[in-house]
This record gives sequence, C-alpha cells and structure tokens, in this order.
Amino acid sequence: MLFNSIEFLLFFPIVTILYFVLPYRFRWALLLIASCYFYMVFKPIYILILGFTIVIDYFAGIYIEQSEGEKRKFYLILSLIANIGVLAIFKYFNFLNLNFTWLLEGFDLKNPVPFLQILLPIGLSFHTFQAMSYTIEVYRGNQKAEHHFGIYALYVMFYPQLVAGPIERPQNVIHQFYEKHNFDYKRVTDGLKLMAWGMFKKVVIADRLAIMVENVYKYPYNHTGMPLIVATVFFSIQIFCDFSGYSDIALGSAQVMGFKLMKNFDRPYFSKTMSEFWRRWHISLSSWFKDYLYISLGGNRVSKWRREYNLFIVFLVSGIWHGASWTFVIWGAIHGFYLVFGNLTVNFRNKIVNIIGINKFTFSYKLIQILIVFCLTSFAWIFFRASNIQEATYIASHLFSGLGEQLQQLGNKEFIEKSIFLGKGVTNFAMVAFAIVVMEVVHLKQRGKSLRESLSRSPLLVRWILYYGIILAILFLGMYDQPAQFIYFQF
Amino acid sequence: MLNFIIKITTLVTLIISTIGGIILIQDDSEKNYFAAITDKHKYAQSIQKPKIILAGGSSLAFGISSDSIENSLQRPVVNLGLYGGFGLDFILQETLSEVKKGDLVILSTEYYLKKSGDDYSKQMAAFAYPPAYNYVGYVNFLDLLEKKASFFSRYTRNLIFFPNRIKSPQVDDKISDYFRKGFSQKGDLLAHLNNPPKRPLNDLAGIKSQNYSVEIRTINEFIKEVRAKGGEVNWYFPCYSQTGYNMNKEALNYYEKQMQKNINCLKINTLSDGIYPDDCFYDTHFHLFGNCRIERTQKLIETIKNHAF
Repeated sequence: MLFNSIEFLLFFPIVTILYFVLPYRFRWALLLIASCYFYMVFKPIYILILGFTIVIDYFAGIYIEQSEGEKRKFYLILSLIANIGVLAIFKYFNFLNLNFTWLLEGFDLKNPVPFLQILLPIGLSFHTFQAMSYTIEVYRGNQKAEHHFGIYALYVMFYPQLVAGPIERPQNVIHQFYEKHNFDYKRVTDGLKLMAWGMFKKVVIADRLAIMVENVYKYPYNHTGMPLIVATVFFSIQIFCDFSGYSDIALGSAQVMGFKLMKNFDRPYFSKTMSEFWRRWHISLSSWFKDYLYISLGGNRVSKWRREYNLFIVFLVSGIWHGASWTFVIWGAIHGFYLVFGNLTVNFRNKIVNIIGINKFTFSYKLIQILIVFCLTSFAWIFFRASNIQEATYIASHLFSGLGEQLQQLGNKEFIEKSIFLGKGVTNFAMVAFAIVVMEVVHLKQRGKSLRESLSRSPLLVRWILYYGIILAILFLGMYDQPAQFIYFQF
Repeated sequence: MLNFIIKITTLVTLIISTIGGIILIQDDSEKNYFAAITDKHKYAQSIQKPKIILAGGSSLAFGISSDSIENSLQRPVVNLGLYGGFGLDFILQETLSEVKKGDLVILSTEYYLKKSGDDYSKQMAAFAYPPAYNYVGYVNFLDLLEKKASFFSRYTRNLIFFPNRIKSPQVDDKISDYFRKGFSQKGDLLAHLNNPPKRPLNDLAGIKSQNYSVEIRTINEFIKEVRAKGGEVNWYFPCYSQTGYNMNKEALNYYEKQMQKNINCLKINTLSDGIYPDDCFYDTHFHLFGNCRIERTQKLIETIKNHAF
C-alpha cells in the first residue's frame, strides 16, 4: 500500500482508532494483521518470503541466546545466510546471471542458467537488513532474544517502516510493542503534522519534479548542457523529498500510535562535508553499515590505508544494496571515492585554506562548502537515476556541452520552456519552486529547534491557517495524475 | 480525544467547504468543453426518428458537419464525438445508451486507441453529465473513492490556477475554441471555424505498432449490442494529418489491417481516405477545419449513401 493512496487514507485512521479502542493485550495482534495487509496489497504471495525470514530469525535469536561459543556463531551465520540468500535470489540473481552471461559470451559460450521470472519483493532490502540487525544484536548481547513470536514478527513487519525504513534496531523498537500507549493529544497531532509535511514533500515537490526529470532522463541523448544540469539538480531535490517525505509519513504515523522511530534525515543538503552528508542522509542505513559492516571490518582500529579501503568497500556495498545494477555500484563507488579522497586530503586542504587566509567561520565559506557538497552529490545522483551506464556516462559527459551558447539564450521563451521548465510549463515550475522555497524556509527554521514545538506555542489562528494551508497545498498543488510510487520502495 | 475529534472534523469540514465553495463560485459548467456531453445526449434523447449517431473522439467534433449530413440524407444526426481520451469503453457505452431501433452508428475512434482512457476527463464529463458515471469504469469502491477524490482536487486546482482565460467565449469570436457553447445543437464544434489555425500543430505522438485484439473484441461486443437493439454500426477511419501518417505509417497500416480483418461490421472508408495535408488541420493533427472539414463531410455523405442506404 502506498502512503499517498486513498487506501492508506482509510487504512490509517481505521487501524489507529482500533489501536486505541482495543484492549492493550490485543494491540500487537492488530498491528501485525494490519501490517500483513499493508504488505499484501502489493503482492500477497511475497508475504511468504517475509514469513520465511521471520521464522528463521526468530528461532536463530533464541538459539543464539541459549548457546555458547561456536554454536552461537553458527546460528548467527545461519540467520545471515538465510537473509542474504533471500536477497541474493530475489534481488541479485538475475544481475549476477546477466554478468555471468556477458562473461561467457566473451569466450563464445552460452549461459545454461535461466533467468528468474520474478518481481522484486517490495522493500526487501529494508526488512532483510532490519531482521539481520536483530540476530546480530542478540549475538552481540545487546538485545535479548524475543520469545513472543508475534512481537518479533511485528518488529520486522511494523507497517510504517516495513517497505522503506527507517531500518530500525531491536533495542529501539521491540520494547515499545510492550508499552501501553494511551491517546495523547499532543503526540497524535504532532504525528499528524509530520505526516502532512511528508505528504507535502512527496506529492507537491517530489512528484512534480519527477515528471520534469523524466522528460530529460527518458531521452537523455536529446539534450546537452542546461537541461541535463537542471534535471540532475531537480532529481537531487526530488529524491530527497521523495524519501524524506516517506520517512516523515512513516515516523508520523508511528508517532500517532505512540511509537518513536529513528530519524532518517536531518537536512542533508545543508552538509558542509561529504561525511557530514552521510551522517544526515538515510541515517538508519548509514548507521547500519557503520555498526555492522564498517566496524566488523575493523572500524577505526586499523591502519590509515586499511581504514580508507574499508570505507570504500562499505560504500560499494551500499551501492549494491540500493539496486542490482552497475549504475548503483558506480554511485556507491563515487561516494566512496569522495569520502576517501576527502579524508586523505583534509590536512592538505586545511593548509591551503590557512595559507590563503580564508576565514572558515564566515557564512560565505560555509555556503560554498554546502554548494560543493550539493554539486558532488548531484553528480553522483546521475548514476543513481539513469537507466543504464551508457546513458549515465552520456549525461555526465555532456553537462557542460553547449552551455556557453545556451546561457546566451536565457531570454528566449522557448529555450526557458525546454531547458529550465523541462517542457512542463511555467505553472508547474512556479508551483514546485514555491513549494521548494516553503520547504527551505522550514528547514532554516528547524535549525537547532523543533519547529513543531514552536508551532504549538503559536496563536490558534496562526496554527489553523498553517494546517489549512498545508492541506490545501497538498490537495491543489499535489500531483495526482497517477499515484507515484516512492523511489526507495524498489530497494 | 473528544477535543481532537471536534478539531479534526472542523478541519475536514473546512477543507470540503473550501473545495465545494470554489467549485460553486468558479462554476465553469457553461464554458467547460467536456460539459458539452450533456447537450449532446440531451439532443440525442430528443430525437424520436431513426438517427445517425457519430461516435468517436474529437476528430468528429471538429471535423464533421452534421447539418450537411442531415440535409443530404434526410435523417437526424447527432455527433457524440468529443474526446478520444475518454477511451473506448466510455465512448462505446455512452453511444450504446443512445441507440434505438433503426439507428446507424458511424464509429470513428481515434488512432490513439486506448480501452480505459484518461480518468480526469472521464470524471469531468461525468461531473457535468451524471449518467456518464456509469461509463467511467470503477474497479471497486476504493477505486471510485480515489478517482473522485483525485478529480475534485485536480478540478478545483484547475479552476484556481488555470481558469478559462476567455471570460465570455463566443462561437463567432476569433479566439475561443474549446468550450461548451461552441457546439452546434447536433454536437459539431463550430467555435474553431472562425479562428485562425494554430501553428505548429500539437499532439503529434508516435503510435506503437501493436496488437489491438482486446480493443477489437470490445468493439465487436458493442456491434453485437447495437444490433440487438435494432441498430447498425459502420466503421469509419478518422482523419489524420499527412505528417502524422508519414511518421506512423507502419503502425497505422498494421492498425488498419487488423481493423479491416477483424471488426465485424461494414467498413465504409479506408485509412488513406482520412489522410489530409497538414494545412487542413486547426490545432492538432486530427482536428480538421475549413474547406477540408466540408470536403470530408461530403465524402462521408457519399460513402454512407453508397454503402449504408
């Protein structure tokens, strides 16, 4: 079920009302049934895949806790193999097989292994990683094995974060299913505000930008220079609004029922370095890789070069996590390179800044840093968005082709329509520009404080005008031609 | 919790009232192009004698003179053609609702043949002409809810942000074209006839070479139902620009081949009969105007005379 669908508009209040009305002891069952339904709306049969990993991990957790020595490790490995195996079959098998085919073709051989005719189960990478974090934490002794099967299943399947995260840790979530959440006006309204904000980002900004970006990225060879740059910048904003919008709705809907999920985004495009960007973008995944992969590879307790190598590997794996395609691998590698290069040159760059005598604490210096990080991430997004490597390479290598001549045409109406509005008209552009300005004003206001807190202290009339305004904006400025899927659902 | 319920109810009421208020205040039912469906059906229902029904997309609305057909054949004509984007299901069902014994349906669907059509335009037409809700094709209650909610938010948005730029469009002015009162009583669009043609022509899209078996089955079902009501159907290939034809030659020829072979009724023209030079078109590659419209009508009259009567 999509958060931006009418089904969810009915599903959410029904489940929430039932949640508060039902006696406390039945609530986990309600949430589990609701979560199953939420997932099965996409493709019912895939619930079996989830069921398989849930059963394996549930028993693995218990056996890990009850065992000692090598046996603990054995059960952990068994659980990891089951989870990674599911990922390998459903997400990576065809990709690996395709590459194997190319390899054999190089030797004039035919690949006898058939391709699987299956659709990728929605959100597979998210719930698999969440399940893996459970057995790893039990193994590490940070989490007791959950003996209540329903509660464990709910940990993996809790509908707000089931298909696109945040990828939770058992320590943060499982105990919340045992807590009794009463109706709390402030918490409920805060959750609803966050949901409305997420919806605004999704349907007004992300979905409007999506049609503009699609116009260019669908036929990239028809464009050079300006439209490629504009579409790439728009995609950077689109993917942020799409994914952080989803996360806000997830966090908000959980909050309404009394659950606190981890923050997934913290205004990442205000980052001044790439490492800061990754501390603020998809936080739950970055911290997952840090906790379970980077640290397992040795973390910071290894030599400098080994550390940078590990960092690069983590980003390469992060790229593969996003999708079974070389474009995602390259996207991960680009970010790995940014970070490694940044770490290796940090002293040199600081020296240069000191020699030139630039004041690092000025607004303009920070702004330039923010712009550089935005440009670097936007460049990497090309590989994330393009359909294949050829198209990505074309876009990356034609960003500045003919730009000089194009800049001279900036007064030309037709040129602006094609290259800035990307063929979708001035009204669409004005709507999305207005929405982006609103979002950035909110982001600036959010610095160091909770906007929802400040909002709740505003006069009633101001608050109501804002609520009324944001709902009307969602209704009137949102894109409803076709309910668009969230980009991260595919992972 | 009561406080919360009261506030939420107030907010929802306020939002619904706003949408309702905008639709009422900005009422465009007299100007809306799709609202012409009401007048067309009203006229069709007023005809008591066996009639000719022109059924299809906007190429019929723009490019045929029903008056000339009626005068030549001495038989009442109603032109139901309005918008090909309604989709085959919608167009065929709304046509069927007007078929009576002895009627002849000239069926001329556009080359951009789609079975289900565009939701917004169907909803718009149904909003103006409620019986058409039966032809929209809701899969289930949730689908109905989603389509209606989506329609009202889009419609309200359009009323706010894209109001008709011409406050009082008239048939004989030189700028208005797509509006309800721009149609004749019989359902032909007249508003564009005085206007200078628009260049370059819009809506030149690539047509895919595809199998139309599902659409053909639907059309054949329709033919059966018309016959069951005592009527008859003639298949009539629509008009299209030379450029559009050249661009999609292969796909169109394949389309014609399938239709000629599989549609179970009399085909009264060929695809090439409907191809006109680009100069003949008003604003898109399938909206004829001027002398070419008259020429096409004359050809249709001769064709009906030769084949149908």
